[in-house]
Amino acid sequence: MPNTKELAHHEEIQKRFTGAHALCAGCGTPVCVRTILNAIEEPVVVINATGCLEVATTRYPTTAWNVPWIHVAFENAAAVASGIEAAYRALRRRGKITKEIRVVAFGGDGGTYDIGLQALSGALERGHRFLYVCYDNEAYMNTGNQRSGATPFAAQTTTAPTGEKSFGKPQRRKDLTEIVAAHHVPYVAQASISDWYDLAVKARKAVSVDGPAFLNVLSTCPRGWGHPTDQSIKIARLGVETCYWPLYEIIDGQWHLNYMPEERLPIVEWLRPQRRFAHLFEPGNEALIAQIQQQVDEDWEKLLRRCEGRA
Amino acid sequence: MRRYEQGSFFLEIEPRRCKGCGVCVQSCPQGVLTLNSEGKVEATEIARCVFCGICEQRCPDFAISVHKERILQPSLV
Amino acid sequence: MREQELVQGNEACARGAIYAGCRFFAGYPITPSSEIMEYLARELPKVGGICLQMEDEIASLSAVIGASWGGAKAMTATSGPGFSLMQENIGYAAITETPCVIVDAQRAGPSTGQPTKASQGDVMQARWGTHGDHPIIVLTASWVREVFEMTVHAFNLSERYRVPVILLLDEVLAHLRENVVLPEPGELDVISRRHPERLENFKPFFDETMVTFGEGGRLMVTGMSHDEFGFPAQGKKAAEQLQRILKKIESRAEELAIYRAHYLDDADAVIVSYGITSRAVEESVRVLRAEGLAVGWLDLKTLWPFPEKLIRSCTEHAQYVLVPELNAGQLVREVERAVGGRVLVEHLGRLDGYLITPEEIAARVYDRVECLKGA
Repeated sequence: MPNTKELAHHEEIQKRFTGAHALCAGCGTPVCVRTILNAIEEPVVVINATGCLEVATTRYPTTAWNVPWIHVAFENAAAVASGIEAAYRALRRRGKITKEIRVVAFGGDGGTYDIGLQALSGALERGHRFLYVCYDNEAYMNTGNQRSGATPFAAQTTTAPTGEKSFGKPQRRKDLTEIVAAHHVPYVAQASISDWYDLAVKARKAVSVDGPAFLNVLSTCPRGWGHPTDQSIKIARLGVETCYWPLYEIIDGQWHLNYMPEERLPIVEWLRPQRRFAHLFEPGNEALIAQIQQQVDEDWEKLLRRCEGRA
Repeated sequence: MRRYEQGSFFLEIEPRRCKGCGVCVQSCPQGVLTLNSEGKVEATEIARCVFCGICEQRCPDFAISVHKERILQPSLV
Repeated sequence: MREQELVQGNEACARGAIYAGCRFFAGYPITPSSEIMEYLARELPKVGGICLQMEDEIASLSAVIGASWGGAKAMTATSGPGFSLMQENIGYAAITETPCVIVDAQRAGPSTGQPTKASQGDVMQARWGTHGDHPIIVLTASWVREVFEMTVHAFNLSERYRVPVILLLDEVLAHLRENVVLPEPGELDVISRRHPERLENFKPFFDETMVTFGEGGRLMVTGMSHDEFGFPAQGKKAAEQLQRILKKIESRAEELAIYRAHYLDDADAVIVSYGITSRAVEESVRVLRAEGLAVGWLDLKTLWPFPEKLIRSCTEHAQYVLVPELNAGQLVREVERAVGGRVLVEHLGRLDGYLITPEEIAARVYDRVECLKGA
């Protein structure tokens, strides 16, 4: 099996996802997609849920994809992946296909946390061998920044606006990685675009297990989050360093922490550079920041207990 | 196309493809790259470059590439 | 006198909803209708209303149905793919006689289609999208002020007759900004659902009076065929109930018909249009009249129940009927059926997501009228 460095020099693999797309400067999604596809040795079939990735990579009359690619609708990427995988398995059994192929589905947080959760849950439960990647930019960015199940507490979106009666989204983000883990699938991991090696290794592990695998990847959105376009990696990095977005994996039910910050940064470091949290720094909102810090602390403690210090 | 050479390695940057997202700048372990005043990437510290290829791997727009062997100009062959 | 202001179609729809007393909105983001939810997310809490973003369109209409039975005037807004997901619940709202308004900003389909391009391809889906025979009212609009008015009207009809009302907009109208003077409070009628005088022996599915949850009446609401008490029914009883709710709307087709008629008295050629296409027709009729052609124009606002008699009477003396619409031919079939072969009925369609131009319409009418004269 070639190592990551060797794959990096494989021209065909390198051009699975090409530059012919219109994703914004600073968008984390193409970085996430490239890193994952470049780390997979076997031929891949890509399923794409509706979202920025689908729209901006298949602009009339071009495509950024050099692999078999299918987009069906918003809610059913995992269901389509199930069909492809089942058919592939049948053809393989009858000897019509001899190659080992990998089925990879990409969906945003809207298409995964919300409308696509049912399809994802079904596919995980049925145990299809596929990798589902959620590029999580924490809101419906394709339609102009509406809240999603992934939008964090107190973040401003167009449908969770700030004002006299509202401080942004009043609910907490749902923890999808844990929801997926509860399906007892062989590989579940949380990663970030800032830590490319970690992400690449996780993609390789994910496609090597015999069963469903899931990656939840923090992916920046300069338009929705309101940060400078040339700061994406740094911002995503801050998410990891403040333990807002810890990097961990769950292999056959065993929790492993992948990165332990030497010194945990306070959550304000993550909140401050993003305009969607700007209202939290107005006078009178100190309690909200304290509340967010407390939530993060609790989640982090819980995660540490689960991982039992394994890193 | 800009070319930055060092020994038998070179780095190529295609400014027309560069959107100035800084993914390469922030990912470079050696601090070789910066964004210039036009928001395009430049290899200002090429002497520090170890040609690891992370910038090429991460660039969402294929604007930067790392080459191990210098391609000789036809006239020099 | 209110001042003129620059208002987007989606915003006019949202403001019309608040004007009509809508205090509950549940939706899911989709181009080109997202601005309705964005506006209501900001403005509904200020008037004591609730705006919920749901996990998909199925949940959106479900929440709206729930809210309606909870006593609120409720609405959802979506576009093509989301409208397809809502179909099951549209049938549910129809058989349970739940007042609710569904706004569909049509985009070029089928499936994902062209999300940022206009279409009028959901006309038949709005009528027949859900399974089984069911009553439905479908309205449309062509101007931004009309979007406001028709939204209010949609609520009025929905509350008055206990029926789901669909308002068909399209991508262009939804995103179009126009200088308008919107109605003042009190300028338009606002109708609310009628309550029965007594709760004893009340029959929840007997007429257009409605009791909501928490009022004390005994309620059983089910999507199963039911009798006037809401208990599951089969056979003759089920048929009677269905007949009643179908007749409730179909028998009122003529009084529900809203339209604008122009120059129909002496018209040799009649253009029947609706929605965004009417804007082009207005200009083409002006041009054709200036050329001396006897062209009339029927601008429909109510699409379903289809105003058959109106079409028949308007085309009585015409020799030619043109139905321009942004699809491959949907409402034209209804017009043909109403006309019954007496007159040549033609369809002028467009599927590329762009609008039909006044020139296209004028040229077609001019050619045909000249041709008919020659014959």
